[in-house]
Amino acid sequence: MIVKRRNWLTHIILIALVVIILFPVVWVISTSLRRDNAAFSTKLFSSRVSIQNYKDLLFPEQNVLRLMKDIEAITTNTMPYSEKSFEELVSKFDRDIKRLKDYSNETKMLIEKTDEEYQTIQGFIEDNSEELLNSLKENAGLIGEKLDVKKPDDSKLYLALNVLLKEGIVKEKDIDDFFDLQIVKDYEEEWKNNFETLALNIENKQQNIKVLEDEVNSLKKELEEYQKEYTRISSIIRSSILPQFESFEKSLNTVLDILNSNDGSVRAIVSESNEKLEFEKILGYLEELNKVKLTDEFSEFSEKISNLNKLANEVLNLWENYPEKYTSKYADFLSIIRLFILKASKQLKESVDLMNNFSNVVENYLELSNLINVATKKLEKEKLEYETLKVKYDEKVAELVDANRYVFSLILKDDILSFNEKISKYTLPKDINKTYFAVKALGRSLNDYLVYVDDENLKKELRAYLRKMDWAETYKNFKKRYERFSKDFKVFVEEFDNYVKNIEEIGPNAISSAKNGIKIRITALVQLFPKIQSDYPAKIASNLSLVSKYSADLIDQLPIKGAKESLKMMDKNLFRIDQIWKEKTEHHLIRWIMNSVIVAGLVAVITTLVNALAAYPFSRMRFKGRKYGIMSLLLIQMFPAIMYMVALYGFLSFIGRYIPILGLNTLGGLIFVYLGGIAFNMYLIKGFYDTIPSSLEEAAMIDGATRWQTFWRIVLPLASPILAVVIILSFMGTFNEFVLARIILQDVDKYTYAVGLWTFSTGPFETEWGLFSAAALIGMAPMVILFLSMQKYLVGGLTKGSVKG
Amino acid sequence: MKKFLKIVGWILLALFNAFSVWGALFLFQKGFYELSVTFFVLIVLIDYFIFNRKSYPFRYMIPAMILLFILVLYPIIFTIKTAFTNYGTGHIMTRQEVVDRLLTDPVYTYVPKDAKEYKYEVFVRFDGIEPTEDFKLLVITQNGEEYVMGDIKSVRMQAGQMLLGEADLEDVSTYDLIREDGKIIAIIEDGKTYNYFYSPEDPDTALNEVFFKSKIGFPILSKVEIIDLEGNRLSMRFSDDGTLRLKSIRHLYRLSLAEVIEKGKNVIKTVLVNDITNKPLLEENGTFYDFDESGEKVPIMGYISYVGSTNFVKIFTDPTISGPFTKIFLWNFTYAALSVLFTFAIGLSFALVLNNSALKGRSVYRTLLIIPWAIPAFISVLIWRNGFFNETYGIINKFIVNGILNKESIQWMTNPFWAKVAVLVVNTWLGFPYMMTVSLGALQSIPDELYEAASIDGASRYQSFWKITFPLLMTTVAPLLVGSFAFNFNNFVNIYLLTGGGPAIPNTSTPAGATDILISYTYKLAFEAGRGQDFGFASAISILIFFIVAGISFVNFRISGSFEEVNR
Repeated sequence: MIVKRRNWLTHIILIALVVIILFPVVWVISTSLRRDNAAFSTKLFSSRVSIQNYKDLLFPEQNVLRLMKDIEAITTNTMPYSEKSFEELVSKFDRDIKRLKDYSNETKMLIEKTDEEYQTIQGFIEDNSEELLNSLKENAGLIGEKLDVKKPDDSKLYLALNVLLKEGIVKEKDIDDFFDLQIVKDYEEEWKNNFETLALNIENKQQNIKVLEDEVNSLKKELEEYQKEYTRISSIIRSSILPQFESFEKSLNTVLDILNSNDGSVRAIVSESNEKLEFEKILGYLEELNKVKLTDEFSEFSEKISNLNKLANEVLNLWENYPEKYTSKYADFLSIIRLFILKASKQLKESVDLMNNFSNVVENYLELSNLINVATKKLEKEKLEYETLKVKYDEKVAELVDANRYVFSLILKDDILSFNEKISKYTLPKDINKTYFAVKALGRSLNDYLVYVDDENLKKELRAYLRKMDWAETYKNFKKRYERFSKDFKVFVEEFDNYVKNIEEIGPNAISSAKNGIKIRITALVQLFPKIQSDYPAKIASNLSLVSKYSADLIDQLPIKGAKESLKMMDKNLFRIDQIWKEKTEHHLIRWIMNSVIVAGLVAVITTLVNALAAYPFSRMRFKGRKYGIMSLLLIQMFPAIMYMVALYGFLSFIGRYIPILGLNTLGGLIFVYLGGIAFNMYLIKGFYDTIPSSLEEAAMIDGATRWQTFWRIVLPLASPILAVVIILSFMGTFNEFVLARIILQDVDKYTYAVGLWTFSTGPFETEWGLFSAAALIGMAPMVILFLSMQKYLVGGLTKGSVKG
Repeated sequence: MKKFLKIVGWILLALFNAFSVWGALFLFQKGFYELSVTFFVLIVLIDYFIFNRKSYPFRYMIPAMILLFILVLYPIIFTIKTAFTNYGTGHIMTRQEVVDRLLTDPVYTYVPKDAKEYKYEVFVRFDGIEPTEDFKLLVITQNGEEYVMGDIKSVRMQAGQMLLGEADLEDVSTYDLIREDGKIIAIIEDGKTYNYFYSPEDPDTALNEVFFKSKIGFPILSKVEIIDLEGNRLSMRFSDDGTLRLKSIRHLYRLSLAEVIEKGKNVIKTVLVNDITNKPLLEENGTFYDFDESGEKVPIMGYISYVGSTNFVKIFTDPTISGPFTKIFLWNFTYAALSVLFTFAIGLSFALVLNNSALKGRSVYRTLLIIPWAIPAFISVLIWRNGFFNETYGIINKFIVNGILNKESIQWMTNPFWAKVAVLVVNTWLGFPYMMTVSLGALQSIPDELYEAASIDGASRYQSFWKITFPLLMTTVAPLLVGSFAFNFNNFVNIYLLTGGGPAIPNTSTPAGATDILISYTYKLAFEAGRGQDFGFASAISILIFFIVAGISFVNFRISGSFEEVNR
């Protein structure tokens, strides 16, 4: 008994877990069958089911727009019709025109049917007018019952009324039915004492804050400019001026060395002109630089400058006192100093300008940031004061919440009474607009009341009553939209018929003219394109999709069931109309699956054959390097295969120039690259060979068969089951590969299924969940079935110590 | 018959050898040095296997070896080589190619101050009323002599497109001309008529300017150098008024001998010299630099050069790289370890429940629970990302977080913590069926007698699990856990498709993201051009990955005795 109960519990837990775990699968299936756009829906599942997503992906219908494009291709005799004969073209043209007409007729019939259904719904509403309106009244009454009408004491009540009036939440005419305005006036004094100054203060503070914020922002903008300038100049100093100064320092040091040693044994002719003057100029620059104040960040730089200054002074000193101005050394000194001056004077002059500019920037920067600091502090203070005032005010208002609630409950009660009175006079569907406005007004005053209700549950309950009245709005919109749609669309189809007639008449002429080399685009067709491509979605489809949505909503919202069938029929018909007329994107799913099957199939067969061959000696023969062969194969597979693509990408683009089918962006190239993953299943095949008794081969070899023959005729046929398994396994592995395909393939129609599905989940398709999930399911169903049927081998292969986990 | 087959075989082998050697040489000539060497090694090995009787077993492996050498070994060698270079955006071509480019590409030309300018008129063949790109160019020199541009000879091609072409001027009298008031209005050659179409001086043809510029002038003529009788080179260049003019041009760079300091020695060698400034270009870190007027270095073009171990060193020393790299490295280990832990914990729990033979329908449960494994991983990941973890539309945010829990939406893709949670949830979902299956297999191999004996000795269920089940289970499952760790360590598809490695880690110089693992980081470095590709660095990291994973697996093989199995 106990055991049984526990089993039962286990089952429940297991089922719950399985449901949670498989939820993604359930979601994919249900989403792929949804007719609405699941990404934007508020419901997890929908009852509006269709297989349109699958149709669009697998058997795309040639709808109106596609037929028109086809006709254009026929009449201008372009691809894919450029090679067809005149008769073929005309007959194809006739067929297309006929289908266009069929579509037009189908549409007309659908509209007729929809009109009928619409009339049925109108009739239904008319028949049940009283009952529907009663349900509105009932809900309004339920709201009325839940109202809290406890009267607070007068002082609070009238103070509250004053606050409401001053804040503009209610107007005098709203409350003069319930309260004596004179008494309200009497309490104005008390309001002044309690609230007026506070309210004024708050307003003042708000203004102050705004002014200050503006000021801070403009200052910050200015500061940013200086910040930029500062970073610019400091980078110049670091990267170019500082190194130069270092070289100056070196030069000066060299010069000093020369000046310090005055061994004048060799004489030379020395021509000295104005070098000293120039050098003094440099000294001037350096002194000027020395005066510039810099931030601590540049202490190294300042040191460098003062050092340079010192050095230069020393040089000048020694220079003036140099005793032997006729020696070769002095000549050398002069030639160095001349070059130095040449190098340094321009540079230093620029540096002086830059540094002056820099100190300006720094000064302004500091000043500005001070200003900002001051302003920010002020702002913070104001904000703080504002907050305290606001809190004070709110506290005072909060004391009055009971009184407020009372006031609004009175107003709401009165509104409910007048609502019921109004509604009683209406009949549906004639007065739906009036009904809608009445409901809307009731909703507004309920929301006013709910502001002062604290009890969340009560709030929820009251809102729920209001929501039960939503059908009035939905129905009003439904009616308005459908009538507009029906009128517009009939005109639209009529015009379309005229265009088609025109095209039909001129078509054969255009074809024969195109055959003779004079290609024209039929004017009617040219004009028809924008009608379908932009007029239809803008004028018709917008109303159509709204009607669809409203009819689905009405099924849930209408308090009396019974119109469900008609609404559903309408929804269905409208959906079909949209499918006929709307512009549909072209999908390549079939192409992608074909590509995947070709690639995966070829790769599977080739790698399995190569593997079957290579695994044989490992199983049957003893040779040097047998152990290390397998070991290195296993190790090589550890190398991140993605990186192969750096090398192979270049190779493929190169080889593609000589052998186009192996190039980049071709399936051939992809297959070629996939063949690199050969070693994965060798181990599995070798394991199977091991189980085949070698006595068979020995017998054959005694009969004179060669090694090769025993392999080809005996081992391989015996191993065919495992080869089949390996083929399927590597087929699945290749089918599921994404990364390499993504790198190699670029054109949409060359994608494999994996890359294609990926495009369905990004960019414009990100929210097209219907298409995405349908495409995912199409790809995953066969793979799941294959996997489940191959379970045994997979598990065996994986647990056998193979590397793939 | 046998003899005949043998002869055919030898001939085929000879042909194969000849073809392969030719291919290898061809590849060598085109700059695929590693591949060419691979080819040679392959040919030698294959011939050795065929001629040497002792190596008979290897003959079976020849097809596998060909594929392995070209598609696996060569890329590995290439990657190892690349790891020591700066190959990547800005350093795509070899030095020779870059020099060629600088010497020939029309981009690197200039119009000298004393440039000659010739007038020209364009004549175009018409197809019906539509002009075609078949044209003739009439050139009128400054002395008023008329010439027609001859056929364009392509001087240098790159990637199938003409980089530079040359054409001579031919005397106008060699063509049939139609003149009206002395002005040529049509040129006839081989029965084709070229009508007067455009001239920048003629305002009547201004209508045709757009066609000329976009179809003929810019794409074709600006790449052609016309050599006049004096040897001047002329080409189409935009002038200040926006029209194309035929001006004499000079190449900006030329080869010249110069004395340069290299490794502290003065060396005389060929260098590129700027034709305007006459200064030689500087070569540094695999890049050519020119100097602008103020003496600043301006990089012109980079080439692939060896950088030694820079790529490896910068992983550890460059703070903008080593910081995120450490994060990625740690997360990579955490991710793999947690994936194994979660999948194993859940898988084992299910296995323990399903191992009860009294439980009805357990094969149904097993099959259902295996489905997450059966669905191709990339499909599952896309479903999870698109339907479940999408921040705005995803049903986890929309129905559970906003709906039931009434909380703010969780930022699955932009908050590093939640992105990591998402990645782990999906990976656990994908991986637990494997662990379940494996554990089930292992559990079934534990003999029941052990439990019977334990229960007789009075062991509780808890005790018998920890003392009997778990130790015995671990002996078979432990190597698989390590294997699973190694697999998850490189589980690229999951990360890449779910979060793309995002959200990005701030303050780094490489495209590192919070959920990136080493392999996805490598992929982004190498293939996502957002911040420029860096093959060298990516290769360095992939070598690191190889050593980590190979190390783990090697230990694993030792434990599980896979190598001994080979010897059986």
